[in-house]
Amino acid sequence: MSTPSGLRLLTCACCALTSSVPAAGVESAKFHCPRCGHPLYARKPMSLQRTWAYVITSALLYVPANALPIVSTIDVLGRKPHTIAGGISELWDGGDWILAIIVFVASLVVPLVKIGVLALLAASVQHAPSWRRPERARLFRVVETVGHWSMLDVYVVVLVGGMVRFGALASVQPEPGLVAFAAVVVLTMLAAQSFDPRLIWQEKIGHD
Amino acid sequence: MSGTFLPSQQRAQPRSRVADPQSDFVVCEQCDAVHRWRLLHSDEVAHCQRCGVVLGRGHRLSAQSLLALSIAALVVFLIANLSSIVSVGLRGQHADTTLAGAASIAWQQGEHLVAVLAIATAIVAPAMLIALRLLVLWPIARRRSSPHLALAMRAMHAVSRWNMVEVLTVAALVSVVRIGHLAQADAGPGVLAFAALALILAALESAGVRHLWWSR
Repeated sequence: MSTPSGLRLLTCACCALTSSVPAAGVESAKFHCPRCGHPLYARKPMSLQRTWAYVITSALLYVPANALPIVSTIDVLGRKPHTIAGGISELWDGGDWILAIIVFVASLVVPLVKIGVLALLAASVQHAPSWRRPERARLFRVVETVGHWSMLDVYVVVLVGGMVRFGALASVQPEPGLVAFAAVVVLTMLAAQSFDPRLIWQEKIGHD
Repeated sequence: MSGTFLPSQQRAQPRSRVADPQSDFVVCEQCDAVHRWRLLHSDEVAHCQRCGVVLGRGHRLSAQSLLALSIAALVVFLIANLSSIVSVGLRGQHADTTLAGAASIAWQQGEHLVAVLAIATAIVAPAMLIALRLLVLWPIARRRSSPHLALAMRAMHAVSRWNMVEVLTVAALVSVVRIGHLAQADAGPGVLAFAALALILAALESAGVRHLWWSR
């Protein structure tokens, strides 16, 4: 919002104090909240570029994260690698349907939906700025809220690997797919943090 | 009307080029819509009229109550991290492992990145959220001024999204089932403590700390 006096109001995301800053050149200027010192931006800097960079990197890493085994189990019969999908189907076959569904949603659906939604949000800012704004804003909040649940499988491998240590009788080893998967989780979280939802509402790129 | 939502007289000296603060308005941080501040009742939640994001909540808890809840969180945090999450048995051998123990084994297995990530999100982030709250609330609850308030508030704001204790709790339950396929596994007291910690941290998070700026 521009005030008649050439000032613009910004509310601090950290302490909720509203300050007025000069409206001229406000898109690129960096201010600090006078009360808590948190950075105060009219727009997150380089928001779309950073969002695209994180989205593309996580989409690329999603492939090895799912194609490579994330963990292998060793027992008297030998060593057996497991992918994320393999682990889910084992839970399902073992009769633990609820856990299978939870892991399926957290590990496979959430990262894919996050990558897709953030790409859609970033693309629509550039190509369809006025399309379904309230729905896009809600979509962003959902993605921001559920994102960290994908860490589930990373924790499971760390816990199981750290606890089942009986040598050749029974042990569990992390495999390279796990790093790729953990990177997807962190990168999609960073992508969501980089995206500035105010871009959904602005009338024209670089001007509002 | 117990909770005050309106920033009152307290103002720090401007440290940057920002002009004189105007406290009559709040600008939605997700869509730039401008709203007028008003007092919120303790059970009220203010949503942005344009995009629907939560702009603020009425505050039910005093600094003393928040401090009490934070101390409870500290106790539960210590129990969660010192007790075993799963106890595993196989042919007479037996092992109890804590979260930190499991992460350090992942480190030894060469998974440095994953071990650091697990410790950062499930141990360091909740520990910081609790410690920073204690640091801020202890003096305020005793009606003294809180040193390093601005720094502590900014650190809490930055850390809160990386706290994943609730995900770890579900992961611990999945782990018990997974281990059950390989050996005898029983959920330890750590799982219960992590579940309690997740609930307390969620309560602290929704109670918020912003209002300490203007209601202390």
